Amino acid sequence: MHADQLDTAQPLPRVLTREAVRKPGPRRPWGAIAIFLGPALLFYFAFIIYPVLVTFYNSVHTLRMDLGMLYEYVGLEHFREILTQDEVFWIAAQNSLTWGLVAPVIDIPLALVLAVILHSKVPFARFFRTVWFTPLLMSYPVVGVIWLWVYNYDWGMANLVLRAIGLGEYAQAWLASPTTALPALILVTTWMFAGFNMVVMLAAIHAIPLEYLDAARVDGAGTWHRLIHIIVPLLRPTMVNLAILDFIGKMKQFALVWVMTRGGPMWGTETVATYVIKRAFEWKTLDLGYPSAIAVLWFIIIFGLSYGLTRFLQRREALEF
Amino acid sequence: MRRMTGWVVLAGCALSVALGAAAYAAELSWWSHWATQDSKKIVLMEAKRRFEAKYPGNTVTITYYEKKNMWPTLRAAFTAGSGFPDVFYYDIDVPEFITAGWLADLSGAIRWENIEPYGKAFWTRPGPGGKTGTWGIPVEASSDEIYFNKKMFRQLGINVPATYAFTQDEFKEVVAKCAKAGYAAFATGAADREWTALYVPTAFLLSKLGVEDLKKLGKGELSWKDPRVVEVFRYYKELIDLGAYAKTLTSMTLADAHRFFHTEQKACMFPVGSWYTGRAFVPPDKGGQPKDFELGLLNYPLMKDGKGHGQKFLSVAGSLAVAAKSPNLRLALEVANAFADVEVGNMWMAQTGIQTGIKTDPARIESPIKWYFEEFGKVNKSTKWVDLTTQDVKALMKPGMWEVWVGTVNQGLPNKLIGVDDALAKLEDARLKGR
Repeated sequence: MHADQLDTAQPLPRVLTREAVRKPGPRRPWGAIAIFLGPALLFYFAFIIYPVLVTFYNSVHTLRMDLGMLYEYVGLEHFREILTQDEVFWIAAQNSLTWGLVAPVIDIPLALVLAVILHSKVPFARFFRTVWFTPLLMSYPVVGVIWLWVYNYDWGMANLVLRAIGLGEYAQAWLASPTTALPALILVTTWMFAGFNMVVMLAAIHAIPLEYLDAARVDGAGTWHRLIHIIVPLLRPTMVNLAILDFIGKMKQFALVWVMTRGGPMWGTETVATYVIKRAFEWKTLDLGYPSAIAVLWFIIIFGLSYGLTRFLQRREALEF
Repeated sequence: MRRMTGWVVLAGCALSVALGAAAYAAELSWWSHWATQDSKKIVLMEAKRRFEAKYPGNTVTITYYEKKNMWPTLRAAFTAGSGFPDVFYYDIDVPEFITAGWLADLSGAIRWENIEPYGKAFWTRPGPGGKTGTWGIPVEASSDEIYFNKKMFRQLGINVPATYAFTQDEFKEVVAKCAKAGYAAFATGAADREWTALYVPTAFLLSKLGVEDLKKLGKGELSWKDPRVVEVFRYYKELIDLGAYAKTLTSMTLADAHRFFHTEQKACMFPVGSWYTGRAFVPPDKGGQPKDFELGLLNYPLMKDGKGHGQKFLSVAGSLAVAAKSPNLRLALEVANAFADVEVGNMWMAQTGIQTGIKTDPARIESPIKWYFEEFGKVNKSTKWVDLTTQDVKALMKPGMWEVWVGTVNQGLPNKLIGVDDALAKLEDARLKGR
């Protein structure tokens, strides 16, 4: 290197040690973090984590009321009994699984249709959006009572409509038969959550860049083709997430069943959640071991199925835009 | 100076007495069922008034619950060890409360000479650690009755026998006539109670088996395949197939069923506990029966070759219990003791028309429903009361057995979802599993 180059040469880089490379960041205000996070964490631990831990504990113990309320370790005895002897558990599991699988198949396409309708800027779109979303604002007991009236044999709206349009022979006590009771309840939750799913889908549709749809339109793609080949594929992650949430929610279904049928008739609408409550509080005992074991088992089943569904439904390469 | 000192001392004494009284003044809490039953609430308020008059400065606050909601709330409060009331409504729905030690033993604290012996005997049972005690005041007793619409029976040409009990064949005719006329035979609603459709089959089993064998059946000591049991169920199924129950059986609540019977008048009969009067003998705008409703009473039909002819269920129902760990235990026991009085028993009968486990003096009962007592007395002149009710069968049965009993007989059979053979097979299976 020449002397005149030396004057204008860049200074030689310094050799830095690892310690010097690790920049000293700003000190975290742990005190403030603790103050802000503490109450929420405490609440979370007290009302979520602790009860879950106690449930796991109870699932391997039994309360001996005859021995002065002593807890006795029984290992996996409760689980063995559930899996090999409890007919009602299997009926409840079947009902819950049916609900969990059927509901998303109805809810997601319905929500998509409603969202596409609203996206098409039909007249009174805002009104329809409000009307379809409103059921979600009601609590399960209120919804349950309303639909008990709808399904009433004598004066419920369902049978009144059937009789009015000349289909009176199809009028029946919808909640009195295991064949119709569970579908009747599935319809209620579909009505209740259609609005939520629709709103999420609508937001996802709005997030699709207009250029994609315009380009398709220019290329001659009609409404149906744009829906099937552009909107649906781009909405797939949203639909998968909604389906999984729907599945988990229906597998835990309790309040609506409790209000409307309490698991009847003849266990036709019994879900695992209602069965757990009955075993815990309506079996003339204070022993929570067996119902806790049902709850733990169901948790494992839901977790496993949800994980499996997620892996099955989600593609490795997400479409990005 | 001396006078000043005297006044100061006197003032100090007065102040300490007042503060002492304030310190000992207690506010007791009382959780009660019967929120919608005004006639019963009158009696509760009378007991409260008597207690507060006897122990001035101490007050009792009554909070009303629907029973089904009260049980889990009580259970949670007792388990947590706080938030439970001093006194509360109690019945045999939750016998585990006694074993858990949550109820105070009333053996030595109540004027038992004013309580019917059967009432005290009902609540005298093993408690925590097997120690026997008496755990409740039997305020309400009830029998299983079958009420009927006199006007409807007249219109349908149905004549009630002198014994008020039809034979099996006659009763089947009655059901057939009601159904043919477009009425339900029984105004039963099973939407919010798990025992309402059990009255009729349980009464049939009582008539056929007699109370001792019926108790064995409930405890799992007698087979559901016993020919007598099968015969009863087949007969019951015939009535169901004739149209004994309304199509709204599963969607009607207990309150709806009352209105279905006495206001809408869509059913001939109403098999229900004698506490029917507590709901029906109130003004119509509060859910009571119309003033011109012609109420009649029957006995259940006589099963062929039955051992239990003339037997009828009567047992303790709504009672009062005291929390064992009440911070005001002594006063809470006195609230309970306020019920142990013949005058309170008389008031209960006069207001509600329902039996009571408290002793009464019928000569001193003045009631606007005297006609009902006379009718009740006529119908039950030869009745042999047995210590059980349809609801009490739950206490006899193991929990798994009760679950199947409710599923098959309260829901399956009356809704024609299951046949007799299937129902009995399920019951026998539950009995053999011993759960």
